[in-house]
Amino acid sequence: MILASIIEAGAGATAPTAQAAAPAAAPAKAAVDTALGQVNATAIIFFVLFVLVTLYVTRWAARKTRTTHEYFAAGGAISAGQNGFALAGDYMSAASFLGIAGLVSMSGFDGLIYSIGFLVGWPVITFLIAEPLRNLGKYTFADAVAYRLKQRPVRVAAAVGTLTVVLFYLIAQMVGAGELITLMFGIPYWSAVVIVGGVMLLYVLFGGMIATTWVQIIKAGLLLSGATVLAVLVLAKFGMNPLELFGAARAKYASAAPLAPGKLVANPLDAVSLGLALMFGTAGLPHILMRFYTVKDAKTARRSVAYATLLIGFFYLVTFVLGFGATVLVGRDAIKATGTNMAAPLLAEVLGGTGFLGFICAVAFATILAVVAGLTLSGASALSHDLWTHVVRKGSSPEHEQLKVARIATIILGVAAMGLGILFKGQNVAFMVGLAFAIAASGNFPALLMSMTWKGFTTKGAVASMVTGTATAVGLIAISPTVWTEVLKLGEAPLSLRNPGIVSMPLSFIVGIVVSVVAPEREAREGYAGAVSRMHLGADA
Amino acid sequence: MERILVERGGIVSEQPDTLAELAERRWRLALALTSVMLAVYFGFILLVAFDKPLMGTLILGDRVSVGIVLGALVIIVAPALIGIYVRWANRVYDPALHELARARREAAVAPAGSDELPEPPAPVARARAAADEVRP
Repeated sequence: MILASIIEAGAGATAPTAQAAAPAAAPAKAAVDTALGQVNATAIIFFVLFVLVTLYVTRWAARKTRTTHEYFAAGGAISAGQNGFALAGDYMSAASFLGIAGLVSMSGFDGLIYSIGFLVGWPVITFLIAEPLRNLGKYTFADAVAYRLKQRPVRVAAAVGTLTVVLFYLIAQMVGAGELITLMFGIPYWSAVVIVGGVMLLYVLFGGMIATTWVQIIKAGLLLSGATVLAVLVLAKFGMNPLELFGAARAKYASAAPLAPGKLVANPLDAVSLGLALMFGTAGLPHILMRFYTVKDAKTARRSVAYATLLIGFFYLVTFVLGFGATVLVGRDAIKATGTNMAAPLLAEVLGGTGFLGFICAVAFATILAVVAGLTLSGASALSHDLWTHVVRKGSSPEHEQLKVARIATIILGVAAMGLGILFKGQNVAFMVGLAFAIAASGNFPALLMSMTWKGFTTKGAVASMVTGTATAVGLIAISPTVWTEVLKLGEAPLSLRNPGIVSMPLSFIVGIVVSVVAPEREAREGYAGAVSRMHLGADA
Repeated sequence: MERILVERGGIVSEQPDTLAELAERRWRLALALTSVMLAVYFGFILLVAFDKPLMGTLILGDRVSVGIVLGALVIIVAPALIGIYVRWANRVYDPALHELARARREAAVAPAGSDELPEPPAPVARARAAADEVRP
């Protein structure tokens, strides 16, 4: 359901909203011979094991979390390899795993277009963002934007951008979690939401960034190894040759041409707009950007993003094999009967029996849990570090107070996540991930890039750019077919564009530039030399 | 409080071109590599949008399409570009930064009052030479 929304938000395919009806689809298992949706002992054992191990890690992390630097940045003590796994863990959501595998299984080549869109943002982060961000900031990306600008206005605007992205992303994840878990484990929707929210709160509240990072590392390891084993089992049936697999898919669905482009990229403008949002949105996602503060210096940040890209690229190649494996070995009718997102679990069942199905379901659950924890922590950092410490307290809040506020903010966000998850039950929220990427690309990324590269950038320019980007992205999607027609059912939409990126991102740049040129700021210009020094040499030069 | 960092700007102006040059070189390479990624990715998307028959053409014994091969190539290009950047950073950028930082520390401990620096200290010159070696 998560991915389907992106699809709807983006490429204009009239993707069946079967996902939105996922809970209702659970009884459909009668039509397919699967243990999915029944109480699965292996799934429960693996999931309980995951929760116990991660809670043990949280207890260990809680003892090490005494300062805000530890709470928000793990004390800067995460290694490049660890951060690579954690970044990959933050990014490889259930949408990537279940959604893309499902999309590939049903549409073949079209699924690959999405995997690629999600991957190409990583070089952008590496080249433009990771190192200067690490050197300029402390906990949030607003630190870097506000470095030589006036703190309060910039931080208010950046916090609004961060919280908007985090909330849309959180709603999509929580609703997805509720529906997936209902489908996989056969438990009620609300209890699934409460379990995810409750366990996540324990991680973040007590273990802060140290626990969240290790939960991501464990989850990324499980997800990558589970998916790899599954892919090897698939390929083993085809002489370890992906070409044989593709050939078999083509032979089975010759008329559907699974190897050729389908309806997904129908309108080039929509495709480019979605592409922009995916490519530059990744470089504006607050929970991803926050991870660069958990390593000791810019060089380590650079190495960690290289590791993350390798892991994510490998993961998408594996997912592609899984999708085609499901096409051939499970069959599209059986996948469709469970709402298309279950292609990977069904494949696991065919190849490894109920035990492997249980393991993959537990991994999917763990995946959602970890992503939600990362999002909550980054939202809490915006509330406490940007809004409380720098806006309310004007930068001078005692350490113990900051930590207390950080934890209160975490509770607020955790409860909000559960409440919104229950409130949006059964709603079509798939567009929200696409929207979160569009806001990140339009509201956060332009101001961040301009503050680091352009001497003439000003406080007013930054605020105008962030506000314009966020507001335009939200406003345009509200009047697009994605929301106007498909969610609000108001008939034909005033705007035909499905993803706002191609308008909102350039507009955010233009407004930022024009405002900065019209009203120059002497202090911001004078501060640039210091920012350049800090950006490259770090804090201790 | 808010403007505390502005004063640090003074340090920079002592060696105006060295850090600025190195910074500019990094941004130039970063922008070039970003442009390559943009061109490759949007080239792929536009091919899908405007030439579906080409992307759907079957090759290698009808077992794979041009689109899938190109798509897999885009997935490989992303880490490859990062590899180019990391290699450059390890060989040129990091050593040059290291020299710059050391030169600054040495300048900072130099006796106060000797403000006339006739020529850049050796480490700076070395850093400059190193940075010149590999221009992106």
